[in-house]
Amino acid sequence: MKELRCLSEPGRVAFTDYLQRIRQGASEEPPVAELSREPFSIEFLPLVQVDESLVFPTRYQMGEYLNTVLKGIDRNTLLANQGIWDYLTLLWFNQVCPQNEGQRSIRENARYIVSPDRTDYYRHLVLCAWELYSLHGIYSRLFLECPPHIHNDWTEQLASRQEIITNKALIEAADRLYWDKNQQRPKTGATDRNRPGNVRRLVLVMRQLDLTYDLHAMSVDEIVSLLPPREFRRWRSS
Amino acid sequence: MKRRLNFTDRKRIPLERISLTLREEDGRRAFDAKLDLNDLGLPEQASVYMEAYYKTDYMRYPFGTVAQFRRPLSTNLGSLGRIDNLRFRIKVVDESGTRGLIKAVADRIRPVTPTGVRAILPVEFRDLGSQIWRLSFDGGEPFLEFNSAIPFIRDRAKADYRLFFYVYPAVLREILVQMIIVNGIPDPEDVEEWEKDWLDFARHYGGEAPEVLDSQDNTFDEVGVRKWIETVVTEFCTAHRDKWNGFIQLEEKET
Repeated sequence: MKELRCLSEPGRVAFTDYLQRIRQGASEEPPVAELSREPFSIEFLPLVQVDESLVFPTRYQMGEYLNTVLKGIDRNTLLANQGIWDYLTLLWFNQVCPQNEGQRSIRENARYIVSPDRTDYYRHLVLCAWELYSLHGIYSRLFLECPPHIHNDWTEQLASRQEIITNKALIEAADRLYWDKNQQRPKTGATDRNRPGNVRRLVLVMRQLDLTYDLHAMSVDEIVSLLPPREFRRWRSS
Repeated sequence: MKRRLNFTDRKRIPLERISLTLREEDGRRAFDAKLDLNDLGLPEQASVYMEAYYKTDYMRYPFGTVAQFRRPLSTNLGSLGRIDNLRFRIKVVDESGTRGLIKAVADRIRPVTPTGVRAILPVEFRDLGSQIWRLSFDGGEPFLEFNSAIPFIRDRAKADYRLFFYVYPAVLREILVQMIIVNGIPDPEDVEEWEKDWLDFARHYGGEAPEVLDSQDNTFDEVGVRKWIETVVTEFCTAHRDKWNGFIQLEEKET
């Protein structure tokens, strides 16, 4: 177990430098010990113990675990101390950026270091796992039922849109349409932009309906009933 | 040119009828709201809601009906994780049918802060590679981004004279060019809140704007508009002469 810390500005700079070195071909282990000390990180209060040795088969399980260990801590506190998410990324770096034949494929920084930007904050692999699970519980599975290093199309299409991701009934409606209960995974073809009623179409239709209806006050049934019947039939019935 | 479809006769609540102010309540942020919905032709029994939002944060507050505007017991924003750059949406909803129909709306409303300021240019800090700053437009609204890798950039963005003159005149120019020449403003009386704010800001420095601000209009005078924009920028800089003096002193020290 390890005490949760909050990466400071020098820590974030050092972490960014590490990512850059890996991008350029270096083969270093993540600097956990170095960045677990001041001035690179500071103590986070209240004290929280996290298990750095845990292996998460999916981001959903990561989100579930984080919601358990951070339970009772004010949301404001967790979001104001953005460095905790970067520190957790560092602890679980081998999961959020696994090695493949000795090489790591580093994606954009926003996946590992919290971006303050409204256009890519939701790309942070750890923060987003906690936040989506805390907002939507089991219905976050469409976004999070993937390995910890994957930022999937569900997140890109739905979580990036404020009016959609904040609407609990709408996210539950998306789960009703696209989650395969038998297979316990998203239905095949739901993100295929050539299929009628795919998730991109859901987003477009909802954004149009949002101009006319008070979608935030609607139930799941009401939202589903607003969808064009023919286009979404296969997702409703399957 | 922007096209707005409105099949349901949804009305826009004029900004001058809205007042939103942040304040402290039990050590946490809350807000006060005043709203004038008279004579907008809205159903008296329609419900009024205010929604505070930013990123994944969202809270909804019932404010009674059109006929009986009533503040809820609490307008505490404490459960929201991100208070900075918070926006508000006001909805008037006809709930007499089976589905709530939006009869009027105002969106992206920026509240006045407890210090009495209503910022018109949200600032964010992010990794911009080798760029110092960048202007981006989110749903049309301008955001200024500074490179978070620059030392002490948060403080410098507010108080550094050099940054002020290197960045803000260019920002002002770019916003006005984007608003008027790229997007076009067909009707200055029917604009988004951010456009109104920037037009008011520009008029404050540059005087009355050219009559036609719609770049798609045949009578649009681009040369005249660019000239007015330059006047706005020049007067903006002149109005900050105290900062300019500080800027010159800094330059002299270093040379």
